[in-house]
Amino acid sequence: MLRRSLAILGLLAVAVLCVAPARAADAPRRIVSLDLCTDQLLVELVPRDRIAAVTHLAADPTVSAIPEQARDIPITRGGAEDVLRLDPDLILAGPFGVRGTVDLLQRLGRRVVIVPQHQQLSGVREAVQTVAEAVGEPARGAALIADFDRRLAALPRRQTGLEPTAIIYQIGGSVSGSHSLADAALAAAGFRNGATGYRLTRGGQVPLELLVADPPDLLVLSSAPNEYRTALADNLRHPVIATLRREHASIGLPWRYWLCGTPHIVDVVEKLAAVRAGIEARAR
Amino acid sequence: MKAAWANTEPNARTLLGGLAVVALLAFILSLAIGPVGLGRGLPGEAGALIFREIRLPRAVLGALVGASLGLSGAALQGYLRNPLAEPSLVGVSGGAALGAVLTIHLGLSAAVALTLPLGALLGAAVAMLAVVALAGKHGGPVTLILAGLAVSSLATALVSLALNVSQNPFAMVEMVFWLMGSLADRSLPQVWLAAPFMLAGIALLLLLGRALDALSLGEDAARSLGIDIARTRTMVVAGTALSVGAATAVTGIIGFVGLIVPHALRPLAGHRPGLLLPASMLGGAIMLLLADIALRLVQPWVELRIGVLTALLGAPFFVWLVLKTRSELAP
Amino acid sequence: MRVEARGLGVDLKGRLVLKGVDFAAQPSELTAIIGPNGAGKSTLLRALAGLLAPVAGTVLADGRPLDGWDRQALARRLAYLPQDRVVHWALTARAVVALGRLPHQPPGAGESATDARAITQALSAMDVTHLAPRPVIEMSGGERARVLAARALAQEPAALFADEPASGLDPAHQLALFEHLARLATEGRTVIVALHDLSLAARFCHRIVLMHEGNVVAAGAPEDVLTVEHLAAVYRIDAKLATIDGVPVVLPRALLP
Repeated sequence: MLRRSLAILGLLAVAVLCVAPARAADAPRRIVSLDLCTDQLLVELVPRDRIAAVTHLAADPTVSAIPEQARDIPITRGGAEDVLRLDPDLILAGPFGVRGTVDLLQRLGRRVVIVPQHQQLSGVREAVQTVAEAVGEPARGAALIADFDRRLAALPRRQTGLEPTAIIYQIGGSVSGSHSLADAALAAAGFRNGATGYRLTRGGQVPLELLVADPPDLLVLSSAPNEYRTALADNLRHPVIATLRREHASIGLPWRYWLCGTPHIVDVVEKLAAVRAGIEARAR
Repeated sequence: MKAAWANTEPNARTLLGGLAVVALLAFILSLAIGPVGLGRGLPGEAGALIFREIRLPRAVLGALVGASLGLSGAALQGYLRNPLAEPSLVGVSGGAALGAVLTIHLGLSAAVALTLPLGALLGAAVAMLAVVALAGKHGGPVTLILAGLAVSSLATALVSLALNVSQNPFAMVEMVFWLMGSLADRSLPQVWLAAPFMLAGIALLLLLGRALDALSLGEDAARSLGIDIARTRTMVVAGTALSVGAATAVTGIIGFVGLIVPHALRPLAGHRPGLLLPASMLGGAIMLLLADIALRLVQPWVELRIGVLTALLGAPFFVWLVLKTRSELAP
Repeated sequence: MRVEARGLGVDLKGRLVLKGVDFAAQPSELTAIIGPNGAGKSTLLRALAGLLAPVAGTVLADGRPLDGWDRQALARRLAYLPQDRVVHWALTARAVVALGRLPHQPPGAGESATDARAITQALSAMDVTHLAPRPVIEMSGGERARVLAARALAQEPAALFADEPASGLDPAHQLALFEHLARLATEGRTVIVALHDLSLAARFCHRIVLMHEGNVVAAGAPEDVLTVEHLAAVYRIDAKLATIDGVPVVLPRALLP
């Protein structure tokens, strides 16, 4: 009996000793990220000392959801030479852009993982899983996804059959159309994306007139009116927008939450769902 | 003897009166066209809001900007004695855009709104002076085109540089706004900001009729007829800078209006540069208003910027003009 | 209107073109400025018309320095006809002649009855009435010259300065133009012309000023200025002077070595 127990313990010990260092040896220690979205996932999945570089966008509060966390991480501008100088053992990239750089790195024998960015909430789970596996932190990834799912499940239930409309109005008159992450967030919060209702929308631009003639139940502004000084943002400062905001529900939800499919999009869905609950309550 | 020739000279009142009527009609039509049509059946205040805050600024700007562009084109052609002169070809619009972009991205216009048209008109004035200096008093059409090309290329390159350096995520899209112009979604505050400058510039340019008529005979003869050439030059530069500068500050660069309108109206004005000034002012307003109306009618099928439309009309016209005057262009 | 220059020095592009020129032209006289190419004839005429600022000396009109005159007042009294017959736009002859009325029109005013009358008279004086509705750029050189002269006449000036007004005109129109200029002079105006044609100068002018390299070499009655010696010294030609049927003729017979 005792000999059997010792044997099993011994086998277990050997197993652990064999597997643990293998796990530790497999996990990349110098990771470079070439894309804002993979930057954010990477920073939340691995400790700082395993990140060789991220893009300059990760610390930019206008586009990144985690600028504070990314603040002191070294930056790469994305050129192949710059990346090779860092001698990474793993490179994370998004599906768009830097195609040439990615091909070059792959041909030079580096390990490159392309992380998909599907424009749905399910895509968020897939992205987290892909990065977690690549960096050797499956448990951490699973925990992030579990939290994501829990919060989605905890959203206030719809009380009525009402499906209020919402428009995400951006610089230059652009609105988020269907098949976008923003649209998925609206749907998850119980809104119908009003963009599809404007027949004259092409390439996602809505003339102000249509917005005034047929206002949405919720106007979502992805930038504050004075955030951008550009002439392109003049439409956000147009007097009718102020009028619309006075007369209808509106909310400012910064762009940085929907630019990338990270679990942070749940912050947005929660806020939208709260507004929706308020609209329903007023309707009753 | 009641001279028989009196009938062949253009009747200024008929010409200007006719143009004014057409301009008014175009203005009214512009108020009526849009995605929401005439706004029937809209709830509550929506219709009034649309007309007052969206259609009205667009129509007013279309008229004022068109008037500025047409008039400054006629003034430049009259002063430079060159039928190929035009604010965008001569680099004035490019300079204005550069001035506007710099005031925006240095944060000046956010602090004091007035700095936007001021910066634009300063840029326009500098560009204008540069071209006049390069082309010289005796520069022929070729020299003028080359000087204008140099100044406008430099201006647009600097606009691009400024946008890139500003780390603006929308730099490229904004570049399109400045280079191709837009009257869409302009607001009444923008009209109040730009209109005083445009009106001042228009007033200055309209005073040039006599000087431009006299300049038909050359500078010496004009001086002997009592024209102060230095003052004329100052008024041309100031008037163009004020009107085109302020216009570009709120709509971006819209080209070729100042080329096409004076040419089309010149025969009707008896080729007199003085009469061509108010005629081109009205003609420019008409052209831009009609172009903007056409734009809104084709919007559902294709997205077009107004500067692209005027360029589609203007560039072939410019080529035809060059071919027509080819003999005069031979060095 | 009496026109004078005293000690006039004019600089063009860094070169001194007129050096200490004294000049006077009286009303009721047709004064000619003659001299070889580059002598400074056009420059003197432009300076007298107030188109060039002198670097030395003064120009006086009716005893007052030019810079003391109001620009418009001067334009009403003095008409200048340039040598280059440029008309930049396809204006009709009548429109061109009408430009001569600008100094008399208050700003913004249209054409008055007085203006119309002056234009009609100017057109008929230059024999271009029939050309009135036609664009000047389509005309022959001579026709254009006459239309532009009519413009100067329409100004109804007290003084008329013309730079080579008859060059390129056929003999008939040359004669007609100079006869008209002489008549204008005898009617009381001050007429100054710069010209090359020595015979025309001899025939029609009351006074001749001979220039050479920026200086006035001789000034006075034609017979005193147009001498064989003067012409030899200034033009380097051997000239013969004669009178045929009462008309003075200057013949450049040969080049001097």
